[in-house]
Amino acid sequence: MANLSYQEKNIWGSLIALSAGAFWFLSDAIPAYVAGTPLPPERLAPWIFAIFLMVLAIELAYHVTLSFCARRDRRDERDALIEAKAGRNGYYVLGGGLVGLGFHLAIWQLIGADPARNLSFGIVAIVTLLILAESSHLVSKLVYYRRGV
Amino acid sequence: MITNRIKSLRFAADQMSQQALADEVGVTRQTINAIEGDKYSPSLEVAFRIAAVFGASLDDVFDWEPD
Repeated sequence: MANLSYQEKNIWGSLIALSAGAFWFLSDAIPAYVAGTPLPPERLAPWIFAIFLMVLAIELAYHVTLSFCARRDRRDERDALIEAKAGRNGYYVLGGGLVGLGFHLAIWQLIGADPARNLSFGIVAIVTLLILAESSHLVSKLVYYRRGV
Repeated sequence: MITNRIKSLRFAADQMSQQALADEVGVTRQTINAIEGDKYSPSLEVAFRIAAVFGASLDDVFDWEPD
């Protein structure tokens, strides 16, 4: 950890918080789907909001602690380039996933699947895509910092 | 590919540290380290700033070889 730059430590904090949220979400959402009993949309929203608050709390605690414990580096052109390239990777994952999800939901609609189940699946899929996009954004940043850009 | 002689120029300049060079140029120490290790090609402005710190021309600091 001592060998990491301030930016890298920041990214690890975000990754840990996101992993905790993703674990909570996916460990409940996926088995519910596999079992054929997905949560209805009205129960999904508060649950997702609670996970979001938990991720926010972990991030906040980590970044406040880091700002006291580590020397803060200014951001320079390399940080901006890495942010841009990693952000692009995240958007590719999100964009590709949303297109795939759109097709999936359209086909379900055509074959007359239950609309409530469709909506529930759509919400879970979008949150999963957001998690994947943010993960690929953060992991890309770590790779670019370590292996060069 | 862009290579450079920053490390040897630093040592020639009274063993200037990466942090000292970074402060003079206005980037982070990690960026100087990445440039030295050929993991990052700096912008033209940063390249000129680095050359100016050593009182050298761009050609004295950086080399470019076609891939």
